[in-house]
Amino acid sequence: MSGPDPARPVHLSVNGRRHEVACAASDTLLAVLREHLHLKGTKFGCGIGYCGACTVLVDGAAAHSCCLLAATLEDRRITTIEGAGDEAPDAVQQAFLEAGAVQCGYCTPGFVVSVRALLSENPAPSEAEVRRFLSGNICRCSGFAAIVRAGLAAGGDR
Amino acid sequence: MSSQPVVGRPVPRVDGWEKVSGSAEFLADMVLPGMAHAAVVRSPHPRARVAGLDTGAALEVPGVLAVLTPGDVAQLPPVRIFADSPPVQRVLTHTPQFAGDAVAAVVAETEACAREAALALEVAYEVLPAVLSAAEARDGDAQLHAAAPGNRAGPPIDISRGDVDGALAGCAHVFRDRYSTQRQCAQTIEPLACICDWSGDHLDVWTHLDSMFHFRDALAEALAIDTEQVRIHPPEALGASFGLKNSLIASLEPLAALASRAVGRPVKLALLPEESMSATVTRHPALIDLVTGVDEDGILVARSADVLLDSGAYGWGYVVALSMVGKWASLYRTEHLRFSATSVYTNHVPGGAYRSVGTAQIHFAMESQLDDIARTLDIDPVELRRRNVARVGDPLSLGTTIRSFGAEACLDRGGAVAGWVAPATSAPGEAPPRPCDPLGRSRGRGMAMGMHHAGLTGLTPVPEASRCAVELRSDVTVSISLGVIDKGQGALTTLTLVAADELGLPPERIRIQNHGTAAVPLDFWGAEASRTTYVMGRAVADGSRRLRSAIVERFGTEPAELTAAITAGTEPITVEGYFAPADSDPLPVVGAHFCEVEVDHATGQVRVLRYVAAQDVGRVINPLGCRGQVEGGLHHGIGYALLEELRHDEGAPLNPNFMGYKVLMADDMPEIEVVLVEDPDPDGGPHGAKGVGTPVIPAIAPAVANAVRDAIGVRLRELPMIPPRVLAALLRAEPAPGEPSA
Repeated sequence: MSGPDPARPVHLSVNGRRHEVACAASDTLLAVLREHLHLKGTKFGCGIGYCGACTVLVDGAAAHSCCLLAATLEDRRITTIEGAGDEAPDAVQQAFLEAGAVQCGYCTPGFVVSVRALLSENPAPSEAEVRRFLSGNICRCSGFAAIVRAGLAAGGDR
Repeated sequence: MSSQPVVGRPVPRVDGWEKVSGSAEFLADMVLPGMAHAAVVRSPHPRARVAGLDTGAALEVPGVLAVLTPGDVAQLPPVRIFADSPPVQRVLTHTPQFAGDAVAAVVAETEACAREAALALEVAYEVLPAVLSAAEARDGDAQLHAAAPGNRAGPPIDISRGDVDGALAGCAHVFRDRYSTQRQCAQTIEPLACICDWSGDHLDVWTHLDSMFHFRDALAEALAIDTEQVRIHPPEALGASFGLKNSLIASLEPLAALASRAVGRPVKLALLPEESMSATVTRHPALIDLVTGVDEDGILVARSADVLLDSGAYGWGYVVALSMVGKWASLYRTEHLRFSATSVYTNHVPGGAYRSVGTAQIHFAMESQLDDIARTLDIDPVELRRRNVARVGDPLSLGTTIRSFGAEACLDRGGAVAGWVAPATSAPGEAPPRPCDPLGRSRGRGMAMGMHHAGLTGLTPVPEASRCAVELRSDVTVSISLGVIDKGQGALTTLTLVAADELGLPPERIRIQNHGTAAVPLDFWGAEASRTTYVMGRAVADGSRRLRSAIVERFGTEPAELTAAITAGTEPITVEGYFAPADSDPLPVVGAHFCEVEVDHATGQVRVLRYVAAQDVGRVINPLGCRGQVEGGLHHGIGYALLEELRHDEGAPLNPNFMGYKVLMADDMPEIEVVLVEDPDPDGGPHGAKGVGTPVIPAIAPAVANAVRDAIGVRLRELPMIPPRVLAALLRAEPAPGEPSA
């Protein structure tokens, strides 16, 4: 892109690995993850921080990566959907599969990461707590019901 | 023979791991070597003429490869919005008919370049007076399309039986009401995108879609090439459709194909979320006048419906009305019927298909009015349905005799789970006020029935049929090739279970595959109209049965006893599966829903507390999938009732994104109970299965509306029932000093 926003090297820690990425000041974390680091599990849904398909963890807390500027995240610990459950499902992913919480799958990475964030701060949430926490993610397929059941099941297992 | 039945047992989706791990490849994730990117220039005006187009500045943006203008597509025919509607919409136009209509496109090395250049492209518009209401389109002088006098988007539908006016004159009670429904968007989370690679004579396309062969034919026609030149490939994963992709989008696939031909490279065209919402297709808004005459026992004697559908710039409401009339006419037995539908073009985003085509609109009207009828006659709304609902042996609108119809079971079981008690009514016509709690909220309960179809028999001139190829491989797995699209509804899993059941093999040994139009037998309608379990399922069952017979004949054993040692050195066995319904009508599918709401009298907000959905699914093949479709359908249906509307300001979309277009969030959803009634249709899908994804929708908005009516004592006849409308209704209900309440 032309204009005064030259790419500068930024060090990002993603899923436990350190990367040096050339980021323009206006590059979102979402764009950098997908286009520069080829981590395509994190999805673009709305681009304005409403749908949650782009959810990642920043220092363990859920965040909408479409609304974060990559260049401001030097030295922060970023975790994406690819950051756990490498070859076999982790407890959250297994709960999603067993609850039938996956339909088209586009919102799924964002929800899995959000549930991981929830359980790391509240290991045994109530249904109301699960619903409230997940109100930053939209699913258009499931009515949220099976996703909430998955969140509760994953919590109950811990 | 497998000892445990596979049908009806909860199993994880066959494509689940790829989705929970984030490794499933959606269109946006795909990269082809040498791929360029396109962006679209769209008219900001709902009706205009392009007076001038200056591509100079756009071409100067570094990285730009080409600019396409209306002159580049002038020789090509317009695009059809449905497979069986006339071609009307140009890929690029000099005369935009809605705010969002495509006037030019830029192709560049990167998406950012393409968008920057699209902004730099200078278009001068002569703004024309827009026609923004269906009534104005129907009655006014402005003609939007040369080939459509009176702005008619399809022939009128005028059907009658008996003598409605004569019968109404003799009715104990006659109800006349007008209802209006809004422009709702499918609003998939994944924005639409496609990749086209036009190389030499061949065009390869990866896109969102429900039906590959439909798209192949439509695209070939729009590009004036032969269908053999076009290969459609389904993406590995597809982020839902809800009917949105029953249509080729003129400014998506055809445009990307032309862009690819222009630059000699694959081109990806990814719509912005705002474009995906407001520059594609939406549900048809409707204005519905119902006149209903009943006798003292609530028996429906005569019914008439007058429907006005807003097809937007290029839609074809005729298809919507056709989908509507069959269900309106046959859900309840009525001797005298008259249905009249007019569809018109306006300068809004085109109307297309959206889950529950036509039936969402007409059920809101019909089921709301039945609720008022029940109140006036002091009959339990459930009992009123029982007295009138169709039964086995009754005819459907195109002549098929109903073989299976679980309406009463849905009413019984749904009502029992809901603990249904008829709302108290006072004297006819009065609105008893519901007491508010100390926080100024009142509760109410309501119910409604819904009917839709599975499959497309009789609704289109293209025959309804499905085909598959079933192959036994030497590693003793079975590969089934067919044009199935799993857009999240779980079709891959359901069909795997059907095949496993017929073959007596564990599901892990079955592989359902779709490698595109060049690799699978013809199935024109794909995943449209809740047909994957019914029509595709029957074809898969047929093919599996034939393979099983062929295995027994060749090897002398059942498939379950086959081993690689037995098959070693032998040729693979391939058979075909086929199914075409013998009926004249699509399969009827019915449900009964029960709902409890709470209304805040200070804010007008409606909260759905509890929802019981009883659906006759015929037979549960995939329990998690079935339940998921019902629960997911509620998101759309309650949204339709309470929240969702693509609004405009003088034809310009006001809220084409998730910030302004409100949908229910996780903490808005009610406590849901799903009751899956199994009333198998002996000539339906495998094991008598019917369908669920679409049929769950029509009852939802009226169930919520009836509960709201119960809660506040006033009837709302306009969707969505947003807080300002609820508040206005509450104010209307307040008696002036000295006057009785309305």
